[in-house]
Amino acid sequence: MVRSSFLRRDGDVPPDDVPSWDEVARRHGDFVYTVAYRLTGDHHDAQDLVQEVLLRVQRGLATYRPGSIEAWLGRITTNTFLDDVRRRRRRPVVRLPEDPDLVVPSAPSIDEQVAQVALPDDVTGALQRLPEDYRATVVLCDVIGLRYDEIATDLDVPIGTVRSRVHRGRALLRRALA
Amino acid sequence: MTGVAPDAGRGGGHPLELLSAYLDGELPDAAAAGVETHVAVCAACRIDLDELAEARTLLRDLPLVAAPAGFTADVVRRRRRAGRRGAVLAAAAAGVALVAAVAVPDASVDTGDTVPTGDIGDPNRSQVADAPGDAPGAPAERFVRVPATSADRGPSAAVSHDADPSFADRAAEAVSGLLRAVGG
Repeated sequence: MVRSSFLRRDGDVPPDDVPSWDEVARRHGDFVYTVAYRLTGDHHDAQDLVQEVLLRVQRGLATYRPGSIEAWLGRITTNTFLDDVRRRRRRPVVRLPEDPDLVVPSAPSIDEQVAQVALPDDVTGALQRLPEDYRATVVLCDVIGLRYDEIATDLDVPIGTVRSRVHRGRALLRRALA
Repeated sequence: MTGVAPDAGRGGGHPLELLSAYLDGELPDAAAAGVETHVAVCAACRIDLDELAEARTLLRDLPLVAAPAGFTADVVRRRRRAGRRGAVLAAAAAGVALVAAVAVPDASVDTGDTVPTGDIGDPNRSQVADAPGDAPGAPAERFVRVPATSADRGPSAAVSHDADPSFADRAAEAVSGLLRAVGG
């Protein structure tokens, strides 16, 4: 079954119905886990991330306005992920170069590529090769299904940056899967 | 894919960075029409467009990943347990034992968003009893547990965790964050 992102825009929360934390955890736990796993590429890291997210959700529900709960959860998950990334960066680690072209080895030419089926784990693995900002943008766009203006607001970057990261992120992904 | 760099050796006039926006319906009509016109006559960009569409479809077709069996239920259960024990974050008042039995994850507490709200337990009752492993069969906790602190007692952190050197740093961070939050 082909789905185009998880986001349902017909409003999956009735206007006067703010879910309880328990409901969010039970009903949307797998969705949060999915986003966490696509971002981290690792089940242990995903579980840690989900727990952090659910704690933020607990606090955030006080001010949550009914709308698309999965957009809201997806954004919290991605932001929490990026916060963790930035926190880890404070310790000396090898930084990925800024030029994304240097991150992924060059692929064989189009003519040489052998058609292959990309399994979900292949895609998740390929996602891990993207710098985190690109990965987060691509996840917000294609896994969660937000619009560019929503992503721009969420990441606090100009729309042009969103457009550029989505484009390059996909290009890198495609190359990593080749 | 050859179209990642801005001009990719093709010279000017190729709307490379607009291709993804085009696929996402994020271009105004005139720009979208421009892309279509160009792609009709430019094989290289047509190929790039196809490959971008492929990547986009792959991502959008990714299935839901089920959390490991029992994981979500476990998170819910632990949150309830923390609530029952009276997870409180209150200003320390003179003569009142501050009870802070808090489940804090491996993240900084600075943002103040990690304290579960729940029943306020009996503040006079020590709630330090949550030693690691007090629940038989409980899985390895990934949370820091900070016991009660009061004016005449220094803080200590009962930490239950996997052997992970960085966790100790985060635990220490969480403890000082908690103390700052309670005005300690």
